[in-house]
Amino acid sequence: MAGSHAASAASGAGLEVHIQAAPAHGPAEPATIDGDKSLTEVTRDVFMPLESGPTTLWKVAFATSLSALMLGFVAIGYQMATGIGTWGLNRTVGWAFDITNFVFWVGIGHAGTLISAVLLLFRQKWRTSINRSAEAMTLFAVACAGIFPLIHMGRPWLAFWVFPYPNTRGSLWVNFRSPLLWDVFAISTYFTISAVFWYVGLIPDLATVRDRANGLRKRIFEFLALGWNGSARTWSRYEVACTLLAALATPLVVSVHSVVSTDFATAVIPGWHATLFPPYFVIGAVFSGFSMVLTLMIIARKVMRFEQYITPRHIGAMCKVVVFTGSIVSLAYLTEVFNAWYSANPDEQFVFLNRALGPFAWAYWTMVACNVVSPQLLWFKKVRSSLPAVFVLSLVINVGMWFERFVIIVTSLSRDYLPSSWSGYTPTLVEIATLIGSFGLFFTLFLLFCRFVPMIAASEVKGVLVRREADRRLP
Amino acid sequence: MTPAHHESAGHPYVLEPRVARVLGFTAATGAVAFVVGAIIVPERAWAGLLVGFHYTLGVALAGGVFLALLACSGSRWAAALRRVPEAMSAAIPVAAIPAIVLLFGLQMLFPWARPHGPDDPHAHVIAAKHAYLNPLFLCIRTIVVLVVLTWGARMLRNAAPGAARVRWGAAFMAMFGVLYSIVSVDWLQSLEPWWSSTAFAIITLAGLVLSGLAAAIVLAVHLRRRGAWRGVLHADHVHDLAKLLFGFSLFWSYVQYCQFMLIWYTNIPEETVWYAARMRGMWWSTGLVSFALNGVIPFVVLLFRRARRDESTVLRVAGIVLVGRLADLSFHVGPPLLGPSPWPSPWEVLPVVGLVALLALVVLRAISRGPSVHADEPGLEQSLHYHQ
Repeated sequence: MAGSHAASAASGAGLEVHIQAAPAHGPAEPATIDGDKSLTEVTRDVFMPLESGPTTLWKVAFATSLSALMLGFVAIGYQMATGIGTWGLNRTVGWAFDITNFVFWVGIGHAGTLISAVLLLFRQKWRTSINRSAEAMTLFAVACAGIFPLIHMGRPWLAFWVFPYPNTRGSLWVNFRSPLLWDVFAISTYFTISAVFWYVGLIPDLATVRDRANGLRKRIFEFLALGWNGSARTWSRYEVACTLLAALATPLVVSVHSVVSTDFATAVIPGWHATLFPPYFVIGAVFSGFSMVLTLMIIARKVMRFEQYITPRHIGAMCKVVVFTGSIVSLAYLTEVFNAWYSANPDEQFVFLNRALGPFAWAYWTMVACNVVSPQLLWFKKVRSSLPAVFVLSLVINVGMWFERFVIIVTSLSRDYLPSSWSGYTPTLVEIATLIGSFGLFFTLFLLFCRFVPMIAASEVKGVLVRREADRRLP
Repeated sequence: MTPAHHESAGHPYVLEPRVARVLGFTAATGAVAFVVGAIIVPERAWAGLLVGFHYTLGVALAGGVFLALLACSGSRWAAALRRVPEAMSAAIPVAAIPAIVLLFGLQMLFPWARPHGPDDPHAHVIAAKHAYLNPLFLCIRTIVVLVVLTWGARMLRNAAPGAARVRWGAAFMAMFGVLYSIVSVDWLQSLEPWWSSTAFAIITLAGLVLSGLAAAIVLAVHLRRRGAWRGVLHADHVHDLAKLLFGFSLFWSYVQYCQFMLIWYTNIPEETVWYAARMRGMWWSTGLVSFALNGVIPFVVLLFRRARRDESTVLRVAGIVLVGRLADLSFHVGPPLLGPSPWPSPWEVLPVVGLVALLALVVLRAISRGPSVHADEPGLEQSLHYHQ
């Protein structure tokens, strides 16, 4: 049963429907996965975790994440009941931890769709081992991001007011000129398309779960698989849908963080208003998103025993993306600093002196050390092929990218044009607990995903295998 | 699979003497026009030379960028097409000719290089930038940039396939990112030294890659039609090149829009001054033409798969983009130098045309001096039989 399904899934060959058109010349491309697996083995390896009980390691990880999430729930409940006066904000620093966390999480959410859409369009086959979990990560990260503006509204139960719909509130209407409203549109569109893309990609694998299951489980997955039958026509439509969604999602990857950057860049605050911000934020988001994918994949391949699917070659390829985007981020930092001097504008110049030498200099230099200095190690193959080193670096970059947003937001606000209103900022325990809670939410969702959904896009991995097989057989 | 198969790929490209003569004659005409123009209408001649400098430097450097991208990404689909970016990158020294001449015209071009009295409203801004914007430092920077990039591109072209090529590819990308940012500040942004924008370098970079890609497409189709690439370049290659052109066209529009929207939105006088100068007279229509040629037309036409696979259509769009690059550069260079409504004259057009002809001559000659396809290029077989 399992074997026959594997064959039927492979006959459509994932996203590579043109197998028969590909003649082979020269050496075949290197395999994307290790172990010279047959299609049946792929099915068994990918779907086994869903069909057996959780491992102890998983239980420990889940308990930890859930505890963090519970802490977050308590903190959020407290804020709702008391008000956002529980935050460390003051009349000068009106945005700090909340928006930092928001931008951080939205940024994390960039890698998933980049991997699934942009790398699909670039025909990077190695993406098949990681795209499913990276896309899931995107959805969870965007969910985490959503928490912060929602709380900051003060009355989150009226959150639906952000949507422009006919209402009886008279002149109370959304402000289309505000980048905050653009955020609502950009992020909700991004979330929707990413979710649809992710789900459409899942369907063939959900059908495999269905075919391997019995009883209630079978009924549930029958519903979720949307009547997938593995016929050539179904596959063909699936291909078309995936390509169309990839093409739709690609501009969204760019638009979301561009819009997020306008939250700052449209304000006439030194250090915020920079024309470079949209592309700079996008590339920073890809940088941080890929680092988070690295963190998760290095853990997941161990915990879920996917070492042969997420190989050091995958990690190496991701490292190259990280060092490439990290270098662009560094160039953007350099451009900003140079331009502050070159602008001959004393306010702009002050911002950068204040960042480097002011009360938040520690945060600035943390950012530089994490985002500019540490990724340079990835130029070396020796570092790229050492999993512990890559894991540590991915964490360091995540920290650095969080600090990047903190530096931009807090240093500019705390000391703006009027020295009489200068002020400091310290996060309260409630804010820190909320941040921890968002990490709890992220990892809880991710661990649940690992248990209940095939974490590796088996149908796509098989597609690549089948194509290689076809390449090998042709003269 | 057999070596014999390799050798049959591509035919030698012969640069017809007639074409070479026409290109050489055009280049000479451009040079003469510049000399005459520099005497009778200097601001136009120098503006033309500056545009020509950016045009040739852009296309030549784009060759290096493509080589670096192909090396770093390890892509094989374009292995057979490698000679075109190679020849483009070998033409970086062509841009050194206008660059060296331009060093003698700094006073003509840049307000900061001219003596200015204390009643000049921008005197204090220019004084504040003196440490960077001064003729000596500019000369040093320009020479260093050209020498380093010429050397980097040369090392990249000659690097053995494999690790060495990847290393030089990465090194070239890093050098290019920093050094081209400097060029765009020095030779475009500082035409109006009172104005600056952090997105400026990436905007010029987007224009460079877009026009370079268009030039590569034109060259590729030319090689196929002249017989050198018969059986080498086929619809799947054209399709991929067209997709890249589509993508970079969108990227160009995106970064242009980012700068424009943010400056328009915040409406700070120090920043709007740049667009204000370009919303007067004929420059606004030049900007719109540039947007149409670089952004709208490639987007609308190449949205369709059938158009992307059709060589003639892709060639036409690439040609439009190459004209669009002229509009884009004029939009950047013209307003501070030529006033609000200068009708085009031969004095600024001919130097540009002459330099483009010289560039074409050098690139075509470089291709004609070697095989049109490297027989021992790794991945050549996959590239020749490439299917999407």
